[in-house]
Amino acid sequence: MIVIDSLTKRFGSRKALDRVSFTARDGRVTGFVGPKGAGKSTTLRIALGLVRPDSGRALFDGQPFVRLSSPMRTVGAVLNPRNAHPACNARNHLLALAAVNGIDQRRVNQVLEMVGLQSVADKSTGSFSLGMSQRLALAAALLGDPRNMVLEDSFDGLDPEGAERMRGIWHSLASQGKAVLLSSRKINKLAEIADDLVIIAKGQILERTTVARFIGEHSRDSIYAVTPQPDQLKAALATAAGISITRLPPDENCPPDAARFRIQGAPLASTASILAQEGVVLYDFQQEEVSLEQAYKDIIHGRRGARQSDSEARL
Amino acid sequence: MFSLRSTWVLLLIVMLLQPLTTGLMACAPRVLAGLGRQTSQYPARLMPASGDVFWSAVAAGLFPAMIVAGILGVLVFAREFSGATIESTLTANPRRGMVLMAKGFVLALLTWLAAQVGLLLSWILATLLLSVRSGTSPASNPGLALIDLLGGPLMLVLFALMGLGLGALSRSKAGGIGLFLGLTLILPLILGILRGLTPHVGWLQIPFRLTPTSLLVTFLSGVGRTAEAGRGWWPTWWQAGLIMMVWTALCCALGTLVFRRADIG
Repeated sequence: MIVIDSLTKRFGSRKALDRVSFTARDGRVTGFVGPKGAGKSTTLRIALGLVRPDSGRALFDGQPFVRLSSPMRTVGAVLNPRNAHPACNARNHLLALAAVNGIDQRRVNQVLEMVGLQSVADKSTGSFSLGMSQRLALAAALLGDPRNMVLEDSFDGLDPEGAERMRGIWHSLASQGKAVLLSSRKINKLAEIADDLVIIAKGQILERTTVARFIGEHSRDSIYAVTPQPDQLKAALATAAGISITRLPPDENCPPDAARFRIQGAPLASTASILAQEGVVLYDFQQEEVSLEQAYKDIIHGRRGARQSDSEARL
Repeated sequence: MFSLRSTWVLLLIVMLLQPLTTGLMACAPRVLAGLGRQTSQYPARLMPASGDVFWSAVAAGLFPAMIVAGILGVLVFAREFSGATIESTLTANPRRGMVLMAKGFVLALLTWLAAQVGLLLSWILATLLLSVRSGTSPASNPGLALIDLLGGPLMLVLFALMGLGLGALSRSKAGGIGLFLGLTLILPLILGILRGLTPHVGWLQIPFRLTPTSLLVTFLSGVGRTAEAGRGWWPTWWQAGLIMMVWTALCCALGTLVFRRADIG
């Protein structure tokens, strides 16, 4: 189990992490998602002893990483896939890591087979593509058959076959009762594999949930409308209970005299009837399914620009 | 350290620079003698080389090799920071002091081997070029052979470890090499220039003699304070060795301290 407990870190005047806490449980794949600069890397680097926190702690099975007697048997980590010396071949890279950690050298062939790199094991890692480097980094992380996995941006550079293989490995690890913590900016990719979800932005945890609950909460229906009569539209729907109307920023597809709206909490047919009765001109009117990506962006932007969103919602 | 081509190349340079320099030094009197035959300014026949000249020719290659060994020391550590290999290293073993010590041990062993082999090659070459035809008179210090042959490679190990410490201190290849060259080449140069500018800073002789390069000269010369009697304090060869150990320990301690506290990535 991986416990991140109230991590706070400043880089100069910038607060990179602000009391970040969550748990990656055994037997589950936990997706750690956030935009670039949200604090994901800093959190993982603190957990792995590469960066010192100002306060807080990170524990693997109850122990800080730097105090583990056999780190590779407790934690398998992939932070940067290109972490092998470019002049070193894949097998020698793994053999050296195994030797340092007292791991049986026969394990090297096993992990090479697991990630599908046997055929290129004797090539220098400098010639590897990003996808192959991802596989090699995972092979290195798996060397000690660790009880916890920490993986950063592990989807990058993978071809479909490689991604499928990786997903299989992560599922298999979780099914063996291990804790798998996957960090990424891509929520759709994480949702395909993760059981739990931790969303971070601007150094703060915004949401801790399960993927199923997140999808249930955020994949709600809404109506998308474009009208040159925004005031009439708002007035027509003002008396309806439980409806929220959000004015969206203009985009390139929106005519210059029109405004874009998202109407939530109203059935499509009855809303269309009301607007027709009130004679509201509509350029576009359609059912909108909020995607996982959109829900994630809404959470992040909602928290970032809470004041702005509030003013939009009051329209 | 293994499978790293540049490491082996630098070790090979450490080894081969020594006989190469010795060869050049041994050939220089022959060239001069040849010129003298043409101009009648130098004796046509070579004089027997003195023991001091013989051993200075043997050990001469240690000076350029010292620079290469120091750069090797810097690169062994600092190059991990130019890629992401340091992350791989530290996630495999998060005990930073131990990581640095392990690298230091391997570096010391390989540098010593390369330096020792190189020095033995220099000895053989100097014997062939200087002693066989013209003979050698005894050195002024009977222990000079042992000091140079056994102590020289150990001094090179100290310089390599100093480079390792500076690499850990700067965590950058350019910074580490700059610091190393600053200490070994630029610092004595500046002190030498200042000392020559005015007679009122004669005391600068002492810090000059305590610079790493000057200590190597003193150590390999095998002479004590008698050689410089009346011209201030001068360390003996073994004192020079001890002071060089202090330099190395200081660089390694500083490097370890900074590396243990540094944020990576």
